[in-house]
Formats: sequence, C-alpha cells, structure tokens
Amino acid sequence: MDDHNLFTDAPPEAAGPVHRLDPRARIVLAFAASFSLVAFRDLPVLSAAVVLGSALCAVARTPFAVVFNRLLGLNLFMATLFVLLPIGAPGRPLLMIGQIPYSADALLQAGCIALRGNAIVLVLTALIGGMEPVTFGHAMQHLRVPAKLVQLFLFTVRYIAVLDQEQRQLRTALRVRAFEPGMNLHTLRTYGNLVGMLLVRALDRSERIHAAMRCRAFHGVFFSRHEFGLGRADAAAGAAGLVAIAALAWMQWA
Amino acid sequence: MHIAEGILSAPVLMAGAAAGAAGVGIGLHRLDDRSLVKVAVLSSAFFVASLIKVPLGPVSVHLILNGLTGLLLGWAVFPAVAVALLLQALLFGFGGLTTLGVNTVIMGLPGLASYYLFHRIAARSQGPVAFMAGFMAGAFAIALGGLLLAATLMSTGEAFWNIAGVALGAHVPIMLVEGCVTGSAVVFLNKVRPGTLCANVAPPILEAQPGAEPAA
Repeated sequence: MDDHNLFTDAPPEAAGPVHRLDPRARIVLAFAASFSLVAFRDLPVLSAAVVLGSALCAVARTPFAVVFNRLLGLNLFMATLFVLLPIGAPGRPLLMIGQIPYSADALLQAGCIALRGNAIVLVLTALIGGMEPVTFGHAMQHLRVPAKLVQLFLFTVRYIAVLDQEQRQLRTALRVRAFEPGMNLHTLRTYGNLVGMLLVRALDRSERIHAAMRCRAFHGVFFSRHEFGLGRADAAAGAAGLVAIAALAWMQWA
Repeated sequence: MHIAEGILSAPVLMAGAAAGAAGVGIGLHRLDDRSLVKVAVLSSAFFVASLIKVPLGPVSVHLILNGLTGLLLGWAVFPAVAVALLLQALLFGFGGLTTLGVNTVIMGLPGLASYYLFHRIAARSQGPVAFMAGFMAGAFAIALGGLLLAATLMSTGEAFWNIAGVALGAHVPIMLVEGCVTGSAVVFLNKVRPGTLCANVAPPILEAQPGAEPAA
C-alpha cells in the first residue's frame, strides 16, 4: 500500500518541533486550544488568536500549500457569510439595499466568526494536520478512548486506501465502456450501482478480514511500534499553550 | 454537509458533543467483533464513495449517502459518521474537533431515522418498490440533515436565519441526487446480494436478535 497517502493533502510531516512532541500531547493540545478559542468573542482578541495560530504553523513548519488549501476551503464559506449574514439582520444598518438593511452589527459578527474559524483551523493544522492517521489512532488508544472506537478508526483508515483502489477499478471499467458523467438519471443510476458494487466488495472483504483476525487470535488491542513518552518538550509545549490561552483570556476579560 | 469551525456557540457545541457521544456509545455498544470489522470496512467504503462527484448544473456535488449508511448500519451509523468526520478533519482539514459532535448528529441522526422508516420495506422489496424505498431513505436523510443544520444555525442567533434558509434551499437538489443514487444502490444490492440489507449489523433493541447474525 502506498502509505503516504492516497488521501491527505499534506506531504509527510517535516521534522519540526511539533513533530517531535508526543502525539497524545498534540491531540490534547489541539482539543484544548480549539475549544478555548470558541469562548473568545472580541475582534482584537480573535485577531491576536489568528496571529498566534499563524506563528504556530510557522513553528511547526507546516508547508505553506497545506495551510493555504485548508484556509481556502474555510474562507470560501466565510465569504458567503460576509455577504449573507448582514442582509436583513437586526442591529444598526450600515447601508440600505432598497428597503433591506445591511447590518453593521452582523458584519462585525461575521468578522469575528471568520477570525475564530481561521484561528481554529490554523491551530489544528499546525498541531495535528500532518499527523499520520495510524499514529492518531494509537494515541487515542493510549488516551483511553474506548477500544471499540479505536479499532473502528484504525480499521477504517486501513481499508480506505484499499477500497479507493476498488473504486478506481470500477470507474476505469465505466470509462472503458464510454461512460461520461452528466446531469441525468443515467449517471445517478450508474453511480448507485457503483456504490452498490463497492459495498458488496466491502462486505466480502470484511468477512475475509474477520476470518483472518480470528486465525491470529485478535482480541481487540493493536500493538504499536511507537513508544509514547511524555518529555520536557511536551511540558514546555503545554505550558506555552496555557500561556497563550491565558494571554488571550486576559485580553478578552481583563 | 457540515458546519464549519468558529460559528457555533459553546452551549450548542456542547449539546452536539453530548448527543453525538451518546449516539456513538449506543452504536458501539451493539457491535461485536465480527460486526465491528464489517462496520469499519463499510465506513471506508462510504468514505470513498463520498468522494464521488456528481455534476449538477455548473457545479458538482459530492455524495453524502447518510441515508444508505443508515439503512445498512442501523445505530452503527453514528460511530461510522464520527470516524469519517474525524478523518476528514485530519486528512483534509474539513470541519474540526469542536464541531465533531454537532456534525455527527446532523449526519447520523437522519441516517438512523431513515433506518427506522425505510429499512423494512427496502430490505424486502425488489425493482421499483425497492427503488422508491431507497429514494425516500436517501432523500429523507438529506432533508432531515438540512433541517438539523438550519436549526443549529438558527439557534446561534437571529442573524443566521437567511444563511439557514440558503443552506436549506441548497439541500433540495442534493436530495434528488442522493435519492436516485441510494434508490439504485438498494435495487442493486437486493438483486446482486439479496439479504445484505436484512442482516443489518447493529440491530435495534426492540427487534429480535436471532436471525440478525448471518450464519458463519
């Protein structure tokens, strides 16, 4: 299997300081940071958060293309928010479009949402954006996430690439038969059949996997070559995160 | 069909996380070793299928298939959706960690509703009836998902009402697309591998347990 990786837009992670942290620490920090960012609601605080997020991406040496891609998707949506949110919304009108007010308050709200969204995505990209899904799964296991969920996650990760291969095969077969997708019922029915075939193959495969796992006396725990260990760097990263959040909180409430 | 990071307020996110966790918990509780592998491989299949793009006028939409996922997985639709969303966040940066719960509910709950409403007839019919059952399951799951999404946005503030409206309207063409694809997939499964839909992997408590497990 081409391990890295049919799906992610991120190239193998650069060996930056974030990469060297314990994966568990990265996940916990990512959760803590994104949930704390939800609480901030002033423009200057959120701007500072975006600056901190960008700095974190720079420290993590996340490739610019990855950061750009991820922010692009988010901000296409945020752009529609800037247009739609203030139309007809309550609050001081900035200008009137005919009879309909374009609300200044809602525009400010859209700005805050956009900044908050960008800050969260920047932090996530820096902390866990380049992490291998398998590493993520093992880290979840060590973080006491329920074993069944971890198994489900790891099995899913494992077979996405395999089933993508199946899907490519089926699509090649369609192309060979001169199938051209368009906006018509034929396309939808063909895709329905393709999905159906994919599911049939997936079910057959799951039977074989289950049999193979039983042969090997699998009892629900995956072994990992990763040795997890919290070190001084993790403590420093945690402290830095705490200081950053505390500074933002101080800006917001003091 | 997901809500981006940064929009929702903390109480909405927390409520979503709690509801999502409950759904995932119940779904996982009903899985044994064999069905767990089955659900995992099917989640991979649905993940891959959701990358299929369908042309729709000047743009293209990607498949969601939460209705079909619900028909096949029953309660296990919640863990399957949660894992798929987590992977999307990890691999592509779509969505994120704070919205994981809310988005799991927005996609998973309609799948479960489709299961309860349409599974019986979809599993036991052929041809046009099976297509209609599948169509309804697929279209209904998208409609309910759109409604949940709109309701979630509206709970954030009055300013969001027109966004919610636009989001809801955008779901109408997707309903038709998903309905047709799900309908054909159900017809296909019933023809090619009868019984696939009968032996759902995480049977609801009320249904008789024996018979749900396929013979080894």
